[in-house]
Amino acid sequence: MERFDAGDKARLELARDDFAEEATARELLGTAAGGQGLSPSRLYAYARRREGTADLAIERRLRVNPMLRACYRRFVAAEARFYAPAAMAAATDEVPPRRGEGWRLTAARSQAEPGQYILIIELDGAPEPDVEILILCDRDQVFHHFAVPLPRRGAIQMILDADAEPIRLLRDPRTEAYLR
Amino acid sequence: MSEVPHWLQTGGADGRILADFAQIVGARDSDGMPKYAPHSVCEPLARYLAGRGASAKRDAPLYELCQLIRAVDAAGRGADRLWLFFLGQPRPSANGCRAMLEAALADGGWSRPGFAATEGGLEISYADGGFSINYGRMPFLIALYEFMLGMEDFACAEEVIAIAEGLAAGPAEEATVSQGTNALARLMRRYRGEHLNYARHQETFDAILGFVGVGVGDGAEAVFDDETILAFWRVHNEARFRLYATVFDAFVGFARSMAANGLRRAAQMAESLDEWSVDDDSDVENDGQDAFEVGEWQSPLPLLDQEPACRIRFLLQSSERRPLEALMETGPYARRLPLAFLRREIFGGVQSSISNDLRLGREGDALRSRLDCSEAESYAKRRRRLEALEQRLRSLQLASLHALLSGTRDLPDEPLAALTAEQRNALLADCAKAFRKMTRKGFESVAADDAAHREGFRIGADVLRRTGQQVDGFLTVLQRLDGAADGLAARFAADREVFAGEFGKLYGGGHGTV
Repeated sequence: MERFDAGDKARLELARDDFAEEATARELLGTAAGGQGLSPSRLYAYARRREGTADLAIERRLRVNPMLRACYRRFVAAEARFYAPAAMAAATDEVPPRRGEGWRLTAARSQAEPGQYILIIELDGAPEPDVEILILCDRDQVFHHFAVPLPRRGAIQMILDADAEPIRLLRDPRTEAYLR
Repeated sequence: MSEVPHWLQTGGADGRILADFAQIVGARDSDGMPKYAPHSVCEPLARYLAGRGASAKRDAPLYELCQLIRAVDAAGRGADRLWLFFLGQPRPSANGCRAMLEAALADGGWSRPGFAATEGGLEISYADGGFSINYGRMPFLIALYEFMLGMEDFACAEEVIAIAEGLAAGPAEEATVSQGTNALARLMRRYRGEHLNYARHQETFDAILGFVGVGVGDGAEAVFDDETILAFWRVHNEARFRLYATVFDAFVGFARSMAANGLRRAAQMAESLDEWSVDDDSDVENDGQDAFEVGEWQSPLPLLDQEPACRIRFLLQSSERRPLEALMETGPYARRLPLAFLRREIFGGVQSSISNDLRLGREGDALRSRLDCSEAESYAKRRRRLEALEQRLRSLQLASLHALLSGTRDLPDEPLAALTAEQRNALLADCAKAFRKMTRKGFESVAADDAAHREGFRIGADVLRRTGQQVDGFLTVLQRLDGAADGLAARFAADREVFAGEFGKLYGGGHGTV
């Protein structure tokens, strides 16, 4: 036989609250077992990925949820060694150059192969910073990750087709750049 | 914010909080293992979230979190140090947190004064006070921070981040932490207010109290036994309390809340614990330990899912673990309400199958045999199954003991101290034999220097011991029940008639509703 004192109203109220809270906790634990949403740590891991391999489910959610995008942007910014804001609106270059603290990013059409561009990333300071990912954030706040070769004598050079994704993105002056 | 599916709204928690919590519980590392330990992180997080944020004490975890944010921000100089610590650990653990902080400090030291890393955790000192956080507490605080960042589909993230930034940038005084705590607590109160409704569960409490309450005023008591629970279900099963298992669980929750209440009162009034707990007629042996158990009991089984014990297959999922889950979850109340618990196990299981059949549109002989309970497992048969499980638990304990002792020259005093040399040798031989017969993952020879493997066995052995005690205690009560005039067979026959009658009313004829 279970027997409990139920005479003190105030204490009974406490027990009633305890009961409701414990039942709620059990409800949370019981319902959540199979769930797998987009947790902040999963978003963080995605922001830190090396290159390409877009997760379509995450990209879809990033497109429709501005709060998620803002969070993602913070993760990318925290990881990046360098950042260059949108290019000057008045820039006349076909691919406007970007400038940020400690680095510059330019793209010029190849003299030898008109269908190609030479993307040049110049880094200040010594020793040479250890960077490997270029992240471009387009006007819709979609982030694109690209692997870059290791810097040599303070610069990274890449030959890209004119219709390559980084060139297409950099043509838009509103595209921002991060280097990680 | 997207619409929450109505079907998720099962009780006091709405679909939003269930989804927000599910993304924390469902978080996985790259190996597909749960990111957060169910026992030591997810359960306390659920309890914290379920709390009503009115009391300052309830916000204590937020205060700890604010202290941790300040400390982590001050440890090292990496631009991403906060994110790396709070979101970058694949499976946060005490050792992992410690290693990460040590690495950050080795890289840049403390960026601000007032912090120190010790053997057990972090010490934070202010001109007006101090605080310490154990490494073991950090995984829970990390999960809490991640939950708050992600809640309402990240709608609160900017606010949470702004509070964290304020903590990091604020002056080194306790008031900075208090302000941060208050800001997070306001956010959490609003969130709970929008997504938790306690009324439904409070109504359940009131319904039980109304049924079991005796007397009024100062001498009023709540009194119930196995038969009360069955009677409550029979009275209410056509309305809200359709499932017997739900009713049993609610009574256990009721008893726990009342017991915790009694403990609180006992602590305040400095009374001896045995004055309030059970009456003198109880079948169950009662002592102070039992009084604590009923209030504080937690199943040890989830410990087997956590590192390093999860590397060893102590229990087989379907034949050993599943049959023990409810017994271990119910804890001492399975012994205190043995018949009610057996009914939950046997007839609650039948009712769950009936519900499934009806949901899936299955009819025919199988459903009919469930409705009349003709194939329900008898109490005597369940007892025999538990006896067999108890034997298996004993073999597992012996094998685990062998694993723990192998490779060590100095045998521990416990559990061998009280044995004669002959008994001790016999026990060790039994242990070795049990270990040899065990063909499960992890039950291979344990290298003396494999600390994680040994720790896994240490944890597992303790879980097996506590599980064995629980099974043994329950079997003792069943034995006593079987020895009474109306033994288990007679009680089962009577219960089968009752449940078949109730199922017939609820689901018979047109089979009613699920």
